[in-house]
Amino acid sequence: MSTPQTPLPQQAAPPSWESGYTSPIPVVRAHLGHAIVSEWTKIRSVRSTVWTLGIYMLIVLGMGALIAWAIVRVPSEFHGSENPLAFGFFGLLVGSVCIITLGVLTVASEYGTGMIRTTMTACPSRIRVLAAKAVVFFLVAFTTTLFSAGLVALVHTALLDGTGARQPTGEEWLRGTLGISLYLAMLGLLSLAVGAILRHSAGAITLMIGVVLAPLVLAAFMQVESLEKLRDALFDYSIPSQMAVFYANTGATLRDSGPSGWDSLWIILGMTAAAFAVACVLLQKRDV
Amino acid sequence: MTTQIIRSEWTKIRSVASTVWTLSLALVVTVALGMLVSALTRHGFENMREQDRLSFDPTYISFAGMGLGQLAMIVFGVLVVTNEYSTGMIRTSLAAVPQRGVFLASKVAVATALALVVGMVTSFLAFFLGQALLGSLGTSLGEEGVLRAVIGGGLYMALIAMFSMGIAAMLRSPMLSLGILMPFFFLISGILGAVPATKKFGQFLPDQAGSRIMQVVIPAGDDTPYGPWGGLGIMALWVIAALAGGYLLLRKRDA
Amino acid sequence: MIEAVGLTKRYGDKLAVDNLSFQVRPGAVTGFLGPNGSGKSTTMRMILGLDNPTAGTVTICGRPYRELPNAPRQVGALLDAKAVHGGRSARNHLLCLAQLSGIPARRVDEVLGVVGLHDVAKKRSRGFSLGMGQRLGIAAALLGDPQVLLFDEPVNGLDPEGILWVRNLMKSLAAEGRTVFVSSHLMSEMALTADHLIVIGRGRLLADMSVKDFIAANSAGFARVRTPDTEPQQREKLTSVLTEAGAHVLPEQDGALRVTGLPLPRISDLAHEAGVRLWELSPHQASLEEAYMRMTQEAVDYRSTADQKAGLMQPLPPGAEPPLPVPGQGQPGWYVPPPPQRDERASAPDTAQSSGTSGRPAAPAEQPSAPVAASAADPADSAPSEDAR
Repeated sequence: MSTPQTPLPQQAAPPSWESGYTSPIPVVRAHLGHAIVSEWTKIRSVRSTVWTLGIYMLIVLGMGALIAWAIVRVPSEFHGSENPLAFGFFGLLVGSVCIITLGVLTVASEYGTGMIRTTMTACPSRIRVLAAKAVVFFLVAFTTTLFSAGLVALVHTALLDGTGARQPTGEEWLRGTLGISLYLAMLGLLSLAVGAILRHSAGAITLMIGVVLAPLVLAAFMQVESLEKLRDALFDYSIPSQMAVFYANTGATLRDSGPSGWDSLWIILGMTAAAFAVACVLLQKRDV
Repeated sequence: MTTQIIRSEWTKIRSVASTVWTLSLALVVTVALGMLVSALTRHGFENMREQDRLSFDPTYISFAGMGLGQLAMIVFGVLVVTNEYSTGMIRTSLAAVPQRGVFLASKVAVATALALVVGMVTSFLAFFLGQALLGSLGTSLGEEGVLRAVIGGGLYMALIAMFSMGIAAMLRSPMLSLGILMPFFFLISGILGAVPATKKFGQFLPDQAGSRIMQVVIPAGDDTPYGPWGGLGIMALWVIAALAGGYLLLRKRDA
Repeated sequence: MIEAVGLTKRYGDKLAVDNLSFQVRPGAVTGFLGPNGSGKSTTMRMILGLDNPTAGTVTICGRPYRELPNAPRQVGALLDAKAVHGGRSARNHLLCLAQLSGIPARRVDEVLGVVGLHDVAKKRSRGFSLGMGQRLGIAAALLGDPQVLLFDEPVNGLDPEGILWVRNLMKSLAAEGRTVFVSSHLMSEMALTADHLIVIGRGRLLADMSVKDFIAANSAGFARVRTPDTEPQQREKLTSVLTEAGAHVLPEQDGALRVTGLPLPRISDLAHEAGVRLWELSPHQASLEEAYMRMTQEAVDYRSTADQKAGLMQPLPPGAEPPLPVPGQGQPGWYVPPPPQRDERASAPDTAQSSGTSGRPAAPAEQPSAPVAASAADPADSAPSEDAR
């Protein structure tokens, strides 16, 4: 038997916390910065996230290129008084599915694989883990969107320059690049929070796509006039229309109703904040 | 032998939580949204524009929820297949049933049968409840084309699930499958079907062609080159292609 | 130092852990034993702050886990080797955990070397075997060079060499003065590794004592006594004499008697006084595994039933008879020690009542063991078999 020959002194001694082993590696107090570095390692070391981002950029740039090609072929179709940046919208609309997926996967994939237990053991402050994920995801989503949307916008305005279309104003530039990038990154954060609430990747992605689409599907069937107000509201406040607001002509809104200017950003900010509040409460309360 | 495999697949499918979740969501969402839109429509029919009244399709109105309900059906189809891979169950399954064709066929058969039952229930429920709420505007199963549309609604849901199963069998990953199917059905297909330049191609996509069967009143100026059953046939061809692709890959690949 | 006080966890209406109190001290390997489903993992998860206890508290170095300033530097844990993202390489997995608590990246390469995974550090962990996954989990636990280590079933899936390695690793960690808390459902493994044992069953504390005391208290030895087969009345006589003297006597299948509660010389004396001849009088020591089985037997959740193979049996053709048991099996052997497995079952439930269910909550390790069991396990009895014929 492996019972030690000498009686263990610790068993007789009164409990003392300091007894035992001390590591030679200096102990630092863990903080949010550490968690952010760790989450950055996580996000770049898994193929699925890298792929999702790659596909996202491919969609945005690809659809941008497709439209650019159309501009070159038939320039007459494109020079209205419309905001010339608006053609970037389609790529981002389709690409938003990638951002939603990435946001959900950032949290929910850890639940799917069980990695969350390892993470939460290594960092018992659950809010810190969620915050670090949010920060890293936001920065990644924001810079990727800003880069691709900016590139597409530059190419489109350059191509349209010769056709007699008007040049976008500074305000339009700001909304069509910075604004839409912030909006998509926030949409991703909302998905991240939903992923943390549902803890199931497929479920959370489905729910988010439902949130994006449900108002449009509903509105499409409301053909009666008395419901026009409701239908318009559903249209105006659906996520795709909120995205389109960033490409609206300055000052001139098509309808008096609906969000305009930077309203969309405040709306999604409110939704995301609410979702994060719920996620934080649940995270603290639930067993991992 | 085959009956045993089918029985085993039935046990697998009913013991997974996602089956219950997705199927019941498909039913509830479709029926509830259909009822909501039907009730709202009845409320404001008098104010409807004349040309809208002419092409008013009470059957199609009660299927308003189908667009979102099929979302859950897609998730059902994807998860039924990919659950095997994400849990590693596939190795156990293929060790028990080495004939991969039989394995896939049984899985698809059982899941489709279930999806068909749920789809039919959903379709009839959505129809009857929708018509009840439409009141005097409603139609009945006896009218021409209505029974076909309602049965077609159930078939459509089952075919959507089958198509997803085929794609999922090819891709094996739930995230990848959903990441491709969802944007495909909800954005790409919609955009291609709406933009005039691509409409010719877009109307041959599975959901565009398949949903034709649920329409009873054809809107004026419609120039779709296929009828209701023709559309469903086009959708069935897509499904066969997806399943064949899934089978070929399953046979070739290491589990 | 881990200290649990009144720890309770309820899932729905199932009480997974029931008012558990114990201390795990530094400088020793403490084994955490219990059958499957007895609440070991739940307790581990509560220690690590993953599950919130329904009642009670558990602290590490005086603080709840979630309030430790830098938990991985104080506590390392292997909970579930599968709890990794399979798409990430072993090195990156450890790197992101290291960064989470500000551990320098070179420490990652160190622990990869310690567990012997440096050759596959760049490989995705999805392709790892069970044993490699276990090694990766151990590497993650060692990453912070912590003073408290928790291992949940660390030898699962390891090859014999790996098991030996884990055993030595845990002993050396404890020798450095760390607190090492290892759960297992295998008594035989714990007997080789642990210095101290905490045994639970159905979420309740069954024993908390050193391995030595556990053996002394629970592996009650017995004497095998055989009277001449030709004279059954001698056997009855001896039985009554021994019972009168306070022994517990159980007949065995082959006609021998299993006697507990009396030392061997006393049995011999009593037989002599009664004029009963003995053909055999031999000491037997129940193994630790047996003692543990006996202790936890009533606290087993998942008990196997005999494989009836009912669904596979072909119906017997009319007129056919079911196969007869092979003759010769289970016949009394002549003077050969009985097959160890068969006869335990007869006595086990009985003995469990006397020694197992007393459930000493947090008994001090030095407490002398129960008198009956102690006398039976007296070293004098373990002397080489003496024939008192």
